[in-house]
Amino acid sequence: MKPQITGMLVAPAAALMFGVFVLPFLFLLVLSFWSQVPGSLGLDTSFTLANYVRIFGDSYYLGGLWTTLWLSGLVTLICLVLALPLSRWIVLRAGRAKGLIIGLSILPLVCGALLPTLGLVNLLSPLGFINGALKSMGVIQSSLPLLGNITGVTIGLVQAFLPLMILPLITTMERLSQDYEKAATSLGARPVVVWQRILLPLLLPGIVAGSLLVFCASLTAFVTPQVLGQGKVVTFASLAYQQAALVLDWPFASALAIVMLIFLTLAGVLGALVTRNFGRVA
Amino acid sequence: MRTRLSDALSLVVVLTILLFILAPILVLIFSAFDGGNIFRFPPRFYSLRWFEAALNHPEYRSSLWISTLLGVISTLIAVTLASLAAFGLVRGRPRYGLALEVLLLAPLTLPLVVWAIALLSIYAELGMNGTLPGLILAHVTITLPFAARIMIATFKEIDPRLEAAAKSLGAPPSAVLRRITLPLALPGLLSSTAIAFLVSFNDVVVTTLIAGAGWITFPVRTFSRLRTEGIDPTTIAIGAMIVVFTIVLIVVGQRLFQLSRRL
Amino acid sequence: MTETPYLSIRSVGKSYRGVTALHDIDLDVEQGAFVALLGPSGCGKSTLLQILAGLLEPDHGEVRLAGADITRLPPWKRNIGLVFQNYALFPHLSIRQNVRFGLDMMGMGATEAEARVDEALAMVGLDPGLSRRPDELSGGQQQRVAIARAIAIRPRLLLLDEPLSNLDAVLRQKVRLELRELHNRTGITTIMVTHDQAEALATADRIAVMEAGRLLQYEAPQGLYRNPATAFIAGFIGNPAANLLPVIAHDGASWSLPGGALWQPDAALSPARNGVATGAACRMALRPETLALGPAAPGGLAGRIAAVEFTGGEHLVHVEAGQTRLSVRLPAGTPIEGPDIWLFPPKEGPLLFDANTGRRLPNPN
Repeated sequence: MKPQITGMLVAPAAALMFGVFVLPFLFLLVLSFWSQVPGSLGLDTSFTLANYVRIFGDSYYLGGLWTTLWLSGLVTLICLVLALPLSRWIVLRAGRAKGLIIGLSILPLVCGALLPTLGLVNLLSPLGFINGALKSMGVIQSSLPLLGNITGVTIGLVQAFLPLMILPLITTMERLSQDYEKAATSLGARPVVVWQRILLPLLLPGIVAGSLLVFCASLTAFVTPQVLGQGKVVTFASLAYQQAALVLDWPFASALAIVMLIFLTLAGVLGALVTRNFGRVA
Repeated sequence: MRTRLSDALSLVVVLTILLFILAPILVLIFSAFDGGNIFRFPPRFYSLRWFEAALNHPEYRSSLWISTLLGVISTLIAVTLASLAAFGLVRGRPRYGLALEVLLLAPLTLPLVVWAIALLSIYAELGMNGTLPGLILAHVTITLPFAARIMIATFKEIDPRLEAAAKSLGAPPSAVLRRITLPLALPGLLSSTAIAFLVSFNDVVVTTLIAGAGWITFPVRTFSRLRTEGIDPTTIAIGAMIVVFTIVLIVVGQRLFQLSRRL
Repeated sequence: MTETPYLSIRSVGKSYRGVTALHDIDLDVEQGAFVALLGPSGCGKSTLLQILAGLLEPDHGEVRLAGADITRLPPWKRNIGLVFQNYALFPHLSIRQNVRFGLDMMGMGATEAEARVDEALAMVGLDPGLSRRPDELSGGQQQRVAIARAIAIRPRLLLLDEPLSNLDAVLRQKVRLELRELHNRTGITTIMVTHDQAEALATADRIAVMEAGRLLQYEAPQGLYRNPATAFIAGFIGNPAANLLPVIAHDGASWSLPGGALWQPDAALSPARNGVATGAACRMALRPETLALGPAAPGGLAGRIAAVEFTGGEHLVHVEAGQTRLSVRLPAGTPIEGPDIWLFPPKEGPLLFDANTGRRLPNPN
C-alpha cells in the first residue's frame, strides 16, 4: 500500500483521537493551575497552586483520597481472588460452553456502569433480595446494612470490574502450555508448589495487567459509588464529578482529576516494576 | 474419589462467582415484574404494569430515542473511521504504526471521567456543551477504540496472501475489497458495530457530564433521578429491557462470530 | 540465443529499507520449461517470485513476458497463476467458487466457467462434485485446489511458492511427481521456488541457485550436480551433499589438513597438477558416493569412524579425518572395519574451490 493511501486511511481517526482525546488532557493540566472567578463561570487564568493546596491541605479531600485508594486496592484484591479460579476453569474445563460463559462474564462491561447498579440496589437494599430472603428464612430479624456504606460500594465495584480481570487472565492462561504444570508435577511438585513456583510467575503479566485495569477503573469510578454509597461514601472521583458537574468549579475539578492521574501513573509504574522484577523468577 | 470431589467443589465455586457477576442483572430483570411501587423481596404480586408505564412515559420515550439516535450515529462514524484506520495500520504498516495504535486505543486505558471533565470545560469555551454535535463527537471518541481494537485484530487475521491470490487471479483492487476483504472482515465489522453501539447506548460517565439539558440519554436521566428521587419502578422496567437487549446481542454475537474473542 | 526468450528477467534488483534483497538478476526462461529457484531462506527467491507475480515492483530492471514489458503491469492484468505456500484458499468460498474466482474476474459466462472448473479440478485429480469448504480438506487436497485455481485461468506462467513444504514427507514425494506430470500435460511454463534441493533436482528442467540475493548458477539438474560453480552449491546439492574438506597446498605433492596433518593424494589430486600455488587455501568437494574405504594404502586419507547409519539400501558412514567430518555412502552389505580406516577419493579431476571466494578453480585439463 502506498504511504499516501495509508496516511489518508489512518489520519481521520488519529486526528480525532489526538484533538478530542489527547489535547483535553493537556488542557486539563493547564486548567488545574487556574482558578474560578467566584460567583461566575469565568476563569482567572493567572497561575496558582491554590487548587492543589486545597486538596492536600483539607482532611475532607485527603480522607476521600485515602478511602478511594484503599477501596480500589481491596476491590483489585477481591477481583483477583475471584477471577483466578474462574478464568482457570473457563480455560481448562468449560469445554463447549466456554464462549457462552465468557460472553456472560463480560456482560457488566457492555451494560455500562448504571444498569447493573440498578439491579444491585434491589439486591442489597433493606427490602431487597438478600435481606428479604434471609428474613423470610428467619436467619436475621432486622435488615443487614448493605447499601449506603463501603460494603455496598465494594460489592458494586467488584461486580462491575471483574471482567477487566477475567479477560487478561484468560488471554494469558490460553497462551500458557499445560505441559509446564505436568512437567512440574512429574518432577514431584505438589499443587501448592506448582501454583507458587510455576503458575503464578508465568501468569504474572496477566495478573498485573488485570490488576492495573481494575485498580484504575475503581479509582476513577463515580457512578457505582454514588448510587450504592448513597452519598455516604466519599470517593475521589465522585468529588471530582461533583465539582465539575454540580459546583461547576472546573479548575478545582481539573486538579482533582490530575491527582487521580498521578496515582494511576504511579500504579502503572509499580505494575511495570513488579512484572520486570518477579516476572520469571519463581 | 478425591478428584471427583474437588471437581464438584470447583464447579460450585465457579458457579457461585458467575452467579455473583450475573446476579445484579438477573435481579434487575426479575424485579421489573414486581407489581409494587417499591421493590421488595419476596414480591407481593407480579405485573407488567411498569413496562406499560415505561413505554408510555414521555420523558423516558424521548430519552430512549435520544440514546438510540446518538448510538446509531456515533457507531456508524466510529466503525467507519476505525475500520479505515485499522486497515491502513495493518496493511500499510506506517512508520509510527505502534504509536498510532496506542493513540487510537488510548481511551481504553485512560480514565474517561478525567477526560470528560476536561472536555466539559473545553466545550464550555466553545459553546458546545449540550449540543448534539458535541455529544456525537464525544461518543465517537469513546466508541472508536473498541471498534479499532476489534478491526485491527480482524484485519491482522486476514492473510494478506488471500488478497494477493485474488489479484493474481485477475481481481483489481475494488474487486479484491468487495469479494475477499469485506466478506472476511464481516464478523469483525458486526462485532465492532454491536460493541460500539452498546458502549455508546449505555454510557453514563461521559454523557452525564456533557449532555446538558437538551439531549438527555436514558442512562443520564436514570442517573440523575437516582441521585434525587431514588429508584423508581419505571426505570427498572426500561433498564430490564435494555439489559435483555444487551444480553441477546452478546449471546447472538458470541454464537455467530465469537464476539468476546475480539474484545 | 538469437531468439527472444519467453520470459526474460534483466538486471532486476530490489532492496527493502536499505537492505538489498536482490542484486541485478538476469534470467531467461524458455516457453514450456519448468524452472526451480533454489536457495536457503532469505536468498531472495521469494522476492523474485513476487516481482514476477506483480506483487512487488523492482527498484530497477525489466521483466518481459512473451515479448512485452510487464515490469510495472499490475498483478490483475498479468494472467500469471500463483500458488502460495499456505495455499491461500478463500475461506469464505466453496472449493468450486475458489477455482471459479479467476474466471469470474475475466467475466466468463457461467456455463463455460463451470466447464473450466471441472476441467481444472479433473486435471489435479479432484472430484469435480466437491462442494465443501477449503478448511474441510486435508493439506494435500487444499494444495490441489490451489493449483486448480491457478491453472483454471490458463495462465501464461505458473508460479509455485514452496508448494511442497507444508506437506508431510510421504506426500511430498508423491506430489512432486504429480507436479511434474501436470507440467508435462499442460505445458504451462512453470517457476517453482524451493529451499529443498531434492525437490528441485527431481522436478525442474533447469535450476537457478540463489544465495544472498544473487544468482549463482543456472543449469540443468545433472550439470549442477556435476559442475557446481561454487563451494556453496557443492555443499548444498545432493543427499547428503558433497563433503567440503578444507585444505592448504603444502607443496606440489601434498595438502595440509586442519590440525596440521599432511596428505599426499594420488597425483591427479595434487596441488601441482591442479595449479594451486603452495600456501593457497582451498576447499575440496568430495561426494559421499564417490569415496571408498579401506586399509592403509598410498593416496589415502587417515580417518576414524564416528558413526554408521543404516538407511535401508546403504550405509552412511561418518568419518573424522583431519578434524573434519566426512560422510561416505556405501552399498548395504559392504564390510566396514573400524574404527581406524582410510578414505580414498576418486582419481579423476577433483572439485576444488577457492577458500576465500568460494569460486570453482579451473580444472587443469
